[in-house]
Formats: sequence, C-alpha cells, structure tokens
Amino acid sequence: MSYLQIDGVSKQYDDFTALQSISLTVEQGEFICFLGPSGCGKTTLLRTIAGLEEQTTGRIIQGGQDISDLPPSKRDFGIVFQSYALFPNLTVAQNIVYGLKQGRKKKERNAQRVNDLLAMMEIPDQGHKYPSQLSGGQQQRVAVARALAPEPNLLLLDEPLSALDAKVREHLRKQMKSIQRELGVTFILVTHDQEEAISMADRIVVMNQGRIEQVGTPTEIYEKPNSAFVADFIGQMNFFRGQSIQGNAFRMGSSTLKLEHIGENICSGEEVLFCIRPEKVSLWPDKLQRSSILQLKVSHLEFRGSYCRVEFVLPQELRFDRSTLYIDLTEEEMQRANLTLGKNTDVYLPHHQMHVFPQKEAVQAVVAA
Amino acid sequence: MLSDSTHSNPLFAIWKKGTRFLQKDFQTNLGGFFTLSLAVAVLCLVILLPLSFLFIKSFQDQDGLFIGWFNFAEYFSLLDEQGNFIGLLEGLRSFPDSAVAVSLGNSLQISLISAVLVTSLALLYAYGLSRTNIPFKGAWKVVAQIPILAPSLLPAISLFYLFGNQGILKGLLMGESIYGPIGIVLGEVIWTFPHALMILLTGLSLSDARLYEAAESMKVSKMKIFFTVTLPGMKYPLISTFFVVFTLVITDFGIPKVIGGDYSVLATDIYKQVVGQQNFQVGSVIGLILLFPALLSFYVDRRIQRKQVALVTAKSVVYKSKKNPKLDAIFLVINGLIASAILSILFMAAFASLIEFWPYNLSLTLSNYDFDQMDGGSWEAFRNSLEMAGWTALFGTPLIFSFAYLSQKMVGFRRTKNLIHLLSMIPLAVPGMVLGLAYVFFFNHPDNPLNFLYDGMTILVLCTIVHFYTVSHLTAVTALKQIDSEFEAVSASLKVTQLVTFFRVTVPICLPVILDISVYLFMNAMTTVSAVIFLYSSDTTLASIAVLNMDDAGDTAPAAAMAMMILMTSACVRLLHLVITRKMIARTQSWRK
Amino acid sequence: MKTKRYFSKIRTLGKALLLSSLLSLSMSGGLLAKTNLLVYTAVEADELRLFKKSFEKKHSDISIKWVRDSTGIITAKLLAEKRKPRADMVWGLAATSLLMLAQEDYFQGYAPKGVQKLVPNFYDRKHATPQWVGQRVWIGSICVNTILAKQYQLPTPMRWSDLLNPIYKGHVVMPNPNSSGTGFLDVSAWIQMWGEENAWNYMEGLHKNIAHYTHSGSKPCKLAGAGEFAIGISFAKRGANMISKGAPIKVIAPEEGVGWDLEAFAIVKNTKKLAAAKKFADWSVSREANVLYNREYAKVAYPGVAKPVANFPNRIVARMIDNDFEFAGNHRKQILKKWASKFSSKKTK
Repeated sequence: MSYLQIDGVSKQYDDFTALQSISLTVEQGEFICFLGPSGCGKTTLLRTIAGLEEQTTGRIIQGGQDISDLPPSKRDFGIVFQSYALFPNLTVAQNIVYGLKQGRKKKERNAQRVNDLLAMMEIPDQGHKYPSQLSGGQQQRVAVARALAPEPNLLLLDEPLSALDAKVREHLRKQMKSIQRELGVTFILVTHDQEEAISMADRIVVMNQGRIEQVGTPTEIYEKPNSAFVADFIGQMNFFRGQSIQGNAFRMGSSTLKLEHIGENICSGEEVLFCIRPEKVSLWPDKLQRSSILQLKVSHLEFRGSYCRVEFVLPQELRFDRSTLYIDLTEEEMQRANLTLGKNTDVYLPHHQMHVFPQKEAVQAVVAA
Repeated sequence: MLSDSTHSNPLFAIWKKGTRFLQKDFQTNLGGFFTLSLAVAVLCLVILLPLSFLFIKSFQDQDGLFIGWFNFAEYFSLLDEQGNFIGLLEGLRSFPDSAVAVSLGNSLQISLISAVLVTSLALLYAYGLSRTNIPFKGAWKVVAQIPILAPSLLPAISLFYLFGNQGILKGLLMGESIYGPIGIVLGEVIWTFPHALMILLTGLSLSDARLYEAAESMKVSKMKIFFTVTLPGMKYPLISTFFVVFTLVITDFGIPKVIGGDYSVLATDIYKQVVGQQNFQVGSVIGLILLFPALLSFYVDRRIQRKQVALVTAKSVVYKSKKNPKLDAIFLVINGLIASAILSILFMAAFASLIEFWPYNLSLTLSNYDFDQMDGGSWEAFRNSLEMAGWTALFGTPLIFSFAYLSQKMVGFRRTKNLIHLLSMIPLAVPGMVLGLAYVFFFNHPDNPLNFLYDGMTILVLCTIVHFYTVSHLTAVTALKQIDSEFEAVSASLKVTQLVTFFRVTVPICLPVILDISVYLFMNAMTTVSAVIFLYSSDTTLASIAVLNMDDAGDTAPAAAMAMMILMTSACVRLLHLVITRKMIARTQSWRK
Repeated sequence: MKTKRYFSKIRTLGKALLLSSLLSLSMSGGLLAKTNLLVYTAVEADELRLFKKSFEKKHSDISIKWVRDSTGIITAKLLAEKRKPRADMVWGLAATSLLMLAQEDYFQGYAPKGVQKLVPNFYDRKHATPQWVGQRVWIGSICVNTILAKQYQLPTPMRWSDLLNPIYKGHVVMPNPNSSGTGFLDVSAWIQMWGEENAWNYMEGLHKNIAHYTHSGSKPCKLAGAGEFAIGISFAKRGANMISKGAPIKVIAPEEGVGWDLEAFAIVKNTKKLAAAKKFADWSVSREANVLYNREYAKVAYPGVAKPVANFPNRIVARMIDNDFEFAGNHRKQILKKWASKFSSKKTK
C-alpha cells in the first residue's frame, strides 16, 4: 500500500473552489513536487495534507491511518515555509530542539542532535546565533534542520527556495535532494518554478485551477505532456493551429499529417492545436523520421550566449498565441544554416516530436496560465 | 423527513451552515473550540449584554415595566403636566423651546466649534513638527502630550483660575464670561489636542515625498503646494481627526460640568438625570442619543482607514523637509504659542494647587494636598485610583492581548475569530458614560448572578478595561499581524502545543507592545471620569471623581491639587515606561532587527 | 533549560496571585466580624470623620460606612432604591426630605433613649414612635464678598428683596434646589413667607440677576469667598467657615426671615442591622453628640448645649422663619419640578 493516499479531496471556500476532487498516491521515500501557477491550489493541497486547511470532502490516508480529521499536531510531518518561520527570539539551537522532548537527561542527546543536523546542513557552529544574524540561505537550512529534528516520515516544503537568490537556490536544491536520498524521508515540495521541480522531483504533480493536470516523472512531463496547459507551462513550446480529419490524421495549413501522440478526446473535424518544443524543430531533414515542412521567413535573430534564438513568421492561418515560430540553434548549427534576416528557409517539424490537443481546451488553459 | 420547503428556508440554511462549521471545528480542535467560545462568551457578557440592557431600559419604567416610548416622550417634552402625550405636532411646535433642544443645540455647537478649532490648530502644529526644521522637536512633542496625562477636569479648573472673574488673564475675554461655551470650547481644545495631533502626525508621515519633489521641480510656491498636495493628501486624516474630536467633545461631561455654568449639554444632562434625579430611564434615553455621534464617527473612521491603506503604497518615499528659515520662523512662533497655551494651563493648575487662599492669600502651602480634610476628596481616593489602574493594567493587558491572539492566530474557526474581532471593535463606539450606565443596569439587576460584582473595585476595573478595550485590541492586533503567520503551523508540526508557543515565542516578541497596552490602560484608568462616574461607591471613590466632587463643593484648589496628583502619577508611569522599554529593547537587541 | 526557568517563573507568579487573592478574602472576612452600618448622609465630609470616630470609640463592634452626597442627590437615591433599600440608616439629611420619605413608609419608627429631652418640635411627634429625629438646624444666609462689593459699588443686601436690584445682575450665585438642600430651604422659606405667587414672582426677578446655579449649597459661599462672584446664597455655617479661613466675607441673615431645615436621622425599615442602627440613634440624641453638632452649627436639638459659633450673623436665630415641615415635605417634589421647568434651562433667561 502507498505511504500517502489522497482520495477525492476538495476544498470549497465561500464562492471559490480551491481544490476539485484531488486523488493522488505517494510512495515512501519519494520526492514529489507540486507544480503550478499561483492560485492553482498547490499550497492549499500541501496545507490540507498538513491539516492546516480542512478539506470540504475526501479522505487522506498516511501510513495506513486515516488522518482526514486529525489536527496538525496529531499528524506525522515536518514543514518548511518560504518565510522560514524561525522563532526570532530563540537561538538556532533552541529553534532546532523546539520540537524535541526536553529535560535534563535529554540535554546531551539534544545537543548532539543539533550538532548532527547543523553538520548535515553544512552550517556547523552556528547554534548559538539568533536567526537574524544568519543569511537567508542559512536560515532556510536551519528551518529544514528544525523540521527534520523530530525525525518525521514526511517533510512538506512550501516554496522553500523562492526567497533566495539564484546561486544559493541552486546549491540548496542539490543539498536537499541529497539529504532526502540519504534519509529516505518522503518530501513534498510546492513550487511554481518548473526548473526546480524538474531538477529535484522523482515525480511532478502539475496542477491548474484546483485540479491535477498530470502526474509523472520529469521526463514524462516534459516529453509527453497530456494537456496543452502542461505543454505550455513546462519548458518552451511553439503552438499553431490545425484541424482533425479522422483518427490520427490532421490538417495543418494546406498539408496533412499523421501523428503518434494524440490526446484521447479529439473528435473528428475538431479544431486542434499542434505544439512542438523549439529544440525539436530542425532545419535539416531526418531520413529516419517523417516531418512536416514549412517554408518560413526569418523575422528575428537574437544571440543568447550559449545558443541563438531564431524567429520565423508563421502564415496567418497557423497562428495561435503568437505570430512567429521560434527555434534555438547552437553556434555550429547557426554557421551551417547561414541564416540572415528576411531569408526564406525550410523548417522541419518531426511528427514524433509533435503533440496535438483540442483547441477549446487549450484556449482555456493558455488563458489561465 | 424534512420537506423541500424547509430546505429552501434561508434561516434553515444558515442554521445548517452554522452547525456544520461548528461541528467540524469542534471535532478537530476541542481545546480551541472551548477557548474561543469562552472568549466570545466573555465579550458578550461585558459588552453586548450590558448595552442591550441599556437599550431595553429606555423603554421601561423604574419598576421594569414596558412603557414604550414614554421615557423618550418625557425627555423630549412631549408630555403635559398630567403626564399625557401632547401629540407629535404640538411636540414639534414646542420642541425648539424644550430643554432637550437647548442641550442638543449646545452640544452640537461646542462640538463643532471645538472640532474645527482643534483640527486646524493640530494641523498647524503637526505641520511644524513634520514639514519644517524648527528646533526642539522632541520638546514640542512632549509638551503636546501633557493634556492626555490628566483628566479633562484639569484644563477646566485651570481656566477657572486663568479667566474666571478673579482670573489673571480675565482681560483677554473682553468682558465675556468664561462660564459657558467659551470656557467649554477652550477646555475641550486643550484636552483633545493630543488626540488630534497624534492622528495628524501619522497622516503627515504617510504622505509621499515624491509628490512634493514633483511639485517643487515645477517651481510651485510653498503655499500652493500646501493647498494642492498637502491638504488633499491629508483629507482622510483630517476627516478622521474631526470626527474623533467631535465625539470626544460631545460625550465629555467633565469640562462642561466644571466650567460650563448653566450652559447645559447632553453629557451634563445625562449626569443630572442619573445622579441628580436618579432617573435612570431618561438617562438611558440620553445615552442612546449620545451613541449616535459616536457610532457615526466610528463608521466614518472605519471607512477612511480602509481607503487610507490604499493611498500609501510600498513605493512611497518618506518626506524630508528642506531648509527654509522663513517658514521655520513662522512655525516656531505658531508652535510656541500653542505649546505655551498648554504649558500655562499646566502651570496654572500646579500653581493654584499650592496657593493658600486664592486670590486673597497668595502664600504657598501644601494644605490643599491634605485631601482628608476636604469635602469629597481623600487620599484614599488617590490610593483607590492607583489600585484600580493597577488592576486594570494587570488584568486588562493579558485579557485583551490573549483575546487579540485568539482572533488572529487560532487555526481554523474563521467566523468565530471574526466575531471576536467585531465584538472587540464595539467599545470604541460607546461613550464612557453610556457604558457606565449600561453596567449599572446590567450588573445591578437583582436577578443577575454577577450582581455581587457591583459596588466594588471589580466593576470599576471591568468597565474601565472595556471602555479602553478597542484601542488596546487594535494595538495588539497590529503587533500580532507583524509576526510570521506560520509560527502556529510550525509548532503544530513539531507537536508543540499552541499555548507553549504563545508563551515562548509570541509573548517575548510582543513584550514591548504588551507593555504599551498596560501603560495605556493604566494612564486612562487614572484619568477617566466618564466610565466610572455612575459606578463608584463610598468605598471606591477615585481620584478623578474626587476632583469632580471637590470642585462641585467649591473646593477648587484641592480639586486642582488632586488633578495634579493624577497628572504627576501618569507622567511618572510614562517615564518609567520609556526607561523600561529602552532597556528591554537593548537587552533583546541581539535578536530584534 | 531556559523553558523550565520560564515556566517556574510563571508558576511563582501564579502562586503569588493565589496568595494575594486568599489574603484579600481573609481580610474582608476580618472586616465582617464588625457590623457595617451603611449610612446615607448629606453632612459634609470634614465633619463626618469626627462623628464616626466618636461613635466608634464607644461602640467598637460597629463600623459606619458613609454614603455622602448633596441633599437632593441622597434623597433621589433613597427614592430610587425604594423597592430594595440599600441603606441601613439615613443620618444628617434635611427633615423635609425625611418627612417625604416617611410618607412613603420608608422608615422604622424608633424612639431613641432620651429623645424626650430634645426640643419638642425637633422630632416627629405625629407618630406614636418617632419616624425621624432632628439633630441640628442649618440656616440659610447670604455671603457677600466685601472687596468685590466695594469694587463694583454694590450695597450690602440686607433683605431678600434687595437682591432684585438690577445692580446685582451677574453677581449672584445660588444653589440649584434640585440638588442642594440649601437651595430648597430658601425656596421653601420664600413660599412660606410670601405665598406661592409672590414667591415665584420673586424667583423670576432674582433669576435675572443670577450668574449661575451651582450643584452644591456650599459652592456659592466658596465662590463668593474666592471673589469669583460678589454674592452667594448659601448657609450660615459655610460663611462662618470661610471667614475663619480668611475670606473677605460678610454673612447676612436677611431681615424678612431666613429659611432653615433640620438635619435629622431615621432608621430604614427592614434593615438587617436594626440593633446597630438603634445604638447609633441612641448616641445621636446624646448630649455628647449634640456638643459635637454645636461645633459648627448654632442651634442643636439638645437644649442648653448650644454655645454661640464664631462668625455667625448676630440675630440669625431670631430671624429663623416659623418653618412648616409638613408643608415643605409634602410639596417638595412639586416645587422642585416647577423650579426645574422654569429655571434649569438656559434659554429662559
């Protein structure tokens, strides 16, 4: 049986639905990320697991026990907030032992625990300081240490890295991932940063408007998004219009094509949306794969350091959210392609890299994002 | 089975919703449920129930029989000599000559004049303090705070010595008598000045400096800037000040009582009805009338506060005044004049209290401080006041702070928490005398099991705590809101009870604010007259009441002496507060940012 | 551990609180051993201490608790508490008030030991056992500030009618009879001397000269003493006191006659402390008590005790009107109501 089972959980505020019938299972020792734009319900779901919010309907089962109606203090979890929520009037050491049983006999053991945790978090010898005397990154490490001190089986992290600057953030990502592996504790991390989710999570739960859009490993989510929303939200994506003919046959502009990845709910004759990631678009034919070919004009060239972004003008009938198609090329490829502004060139869209979604669904999702 | 029509009944829906949310909270957090219920019950008991008794009483006769609008009719002179109703039309015709019309008119008149005067004077003073480079700003601020340290009776007594028929400045009145509207307005202006100044200073400090820089870069004159930038930006604080002062004046009875002569106002009417004629019913009618301006002011202030928040953005820049010697000189004179008016009131009272027999024997003496020899005053009254103020601070502070904590920091119970906050806002809209009268009706009711509280120190402490509840509550709420809202969640996850976190984290962080609240309660308990005037008994006479009674008996100098005792006590407490706060902050500086 | 110290601190605080509340409980218990006699009075505070001390010296098992206020207020308070009286005794309140209250069946009749020795018309003889017993007389007077009179060239008023002279406009202060017993005895005297119509006419005339009406009967004389107003309609004792204090005051007993009232006492019906109240009543008619009464008042109930009091006007006792307490008591309510409707609102001036 799974470690954590969320079964049909909904949360209704007066006239706002924060969560709509969420069901999810999490295995022991997994690193899960809740990913989504702000207001998608990811934090509410995390707080509901903690018991800080009360679900309107549904059950939550943790380690075989139904915890749906238990107050937070009766549940097994540690929590880390974006604001760190360290007690400012207590020292780092006092903060860490806050949740430990205290007493004269436990004193030595607690001190040892503080030292171990601080060492693990790579901030040794900071125990006597007050939180305000530490940097943001150090404070967040203390917050993690404090949450881990009582040895919970589940650690909940609510946007723990969002307030930190890029370098510290990157370092902490690695550190947290390694701690999680080392301790075997189940981590659930809430973030709106897809890069963070992709780099840390075993599985990502993409959420939108109170619903789960997709659950999967980072690769699955990236390679096989099962909705336009996920496709758009994770990574970069080009969209253009088309129609479904029948089965896996579609029309794009004047050409027809057959695709592999097809969403289930596309009806024949329906307006659809194709999408393809910029790095999957090629300027040269691949003999092994079938591709659609568009002849497009270069409208913009932009040097971006390690790569170059090239934009092509899309024909009117293909345009969806933007008027251009963009691709990223390495320096080598740039030299080979020899592109200049206004030049017309063939662009290859490999069919196995293309996704297709019903257009009305996509309109909603993209508008929401 | 319930039929469909029952389900569609809106009342039923509300009931069902209510019980459902109660049930859920009840199941998950039993302790929290009982604590919050207790808080709601206590607040209802000390705020809502007494006020509803006042309301009911105004429709009853002395024996508690329902008599409809009779009391209103009596007060509005709608009864002939046999006690028969003369009819609305006739009443309307004779209304302008009735006593109530006179009092109402007088009340409105002095309140309006005082509010306009104080608002403009305080605006000038505040402008001088925050927008010019006049020297001794600290001293000006301290002087302006003096009137708040004493009961409202003190300026009135000083006016007697300054402008009475033997007054040293009588000539300034050019033949007018101080006994009447002039005296009342002067007294109220002095007494309400600190209140007005505080609001306006805050308002000015919130203005956005970028607007001034923009105006100055367009080479606009200082005067034009004042009228086009400063004043419009101060719209809300000014309105707020006006209403606060208006309410303070219309509900104050100390000053009209001492210096008003025969000039009757609503606040003295209620005193005359209740104390003079023991006509509590008509008293409650006037009390209800007095509630109106207070409620209006309360409403306006709430609306404005909501708008004010939007006015100041995080991007606003604090204004730094530039050098302008001419402007500085003008405001030095203005502030000097206002400050010396306040100081002369203080010194006159101090001097009068040390004079053997005004004006015929001006030798100095301490005999006026021999309160035990005076009619209506005693050192016991002063000791009672200290005791009362002490208990008020000691019980009021933890009560108010922990209730504010409950309303902000309990997990869940959204509606119950809002209810606590709402109940906590009510006392601000209830004048002290009205609250006191409500307490008489409620706690002196023979069938009230809490009847034993009446007649002692407890009722005075309780009424005083409630009278000054809202400001203390808001202070606590502001401080609590600044604390990370996740502390409670964190401690729950660490399996530490909320109570432990309250004592180990919340209280230490809020200690300076807790101290602020206790000092606020102490000082107000020392100076209040209106909240306790109907509630004291022979054993629990208070210093502020003694001032009133001694003045009533014509012992003006001892009354001044007692008022000075109150002022000095408040000043000492304030000083002590400053020292302790400074020490405390220094000691905890390692973790306070 | 810091937490532990913290909690031990809280515990000590709790103990201290518990201890102090226990202490205050036991203290109030100690006080209960004495009989607390709740006495409503209009006698002024400085004298009350003396009476309390002398009485309690003799009866150490009784402790007097005074509730003191002006005559009108004490009377109104008693009336308001009619259904459930709080007071055990009323002492040193105007006889006119007691008479009115007696009609409401407020009191427990009691003839104190030695009451027959008192001046006969100074106690209630209408009932078989007296409902109330008089103690001493307080007499209305006019206080005139001589310095101010000279300054404004005001002649010294020798008669009530002199005060109608427009020259006094704004110089006269008088107690409000609704709150002050002194104010009422003047009004009552004018009505008794001159009849209803003339008296009200007189008051309307006087009203034009009044600067303002005061809450207490002492205040007009104190204001006159302080030179705030030249003329204060007040009572003789207060004037005499002010002269002793050094105020430039003359106390006048107008020639037409001066109003007066008796300070008297009565026991409230159904008091639970009847025995103690009777003891206080017995002491109050004793010679010893009357000697104390005489310290500040010229005429007391016990014959042969009174010695002249310093600074009282010479012929004041002779000018006391033939006071009809029955009339004053019966008409008190109605007179006050009429007065209030005529003069208490500024607009009618």
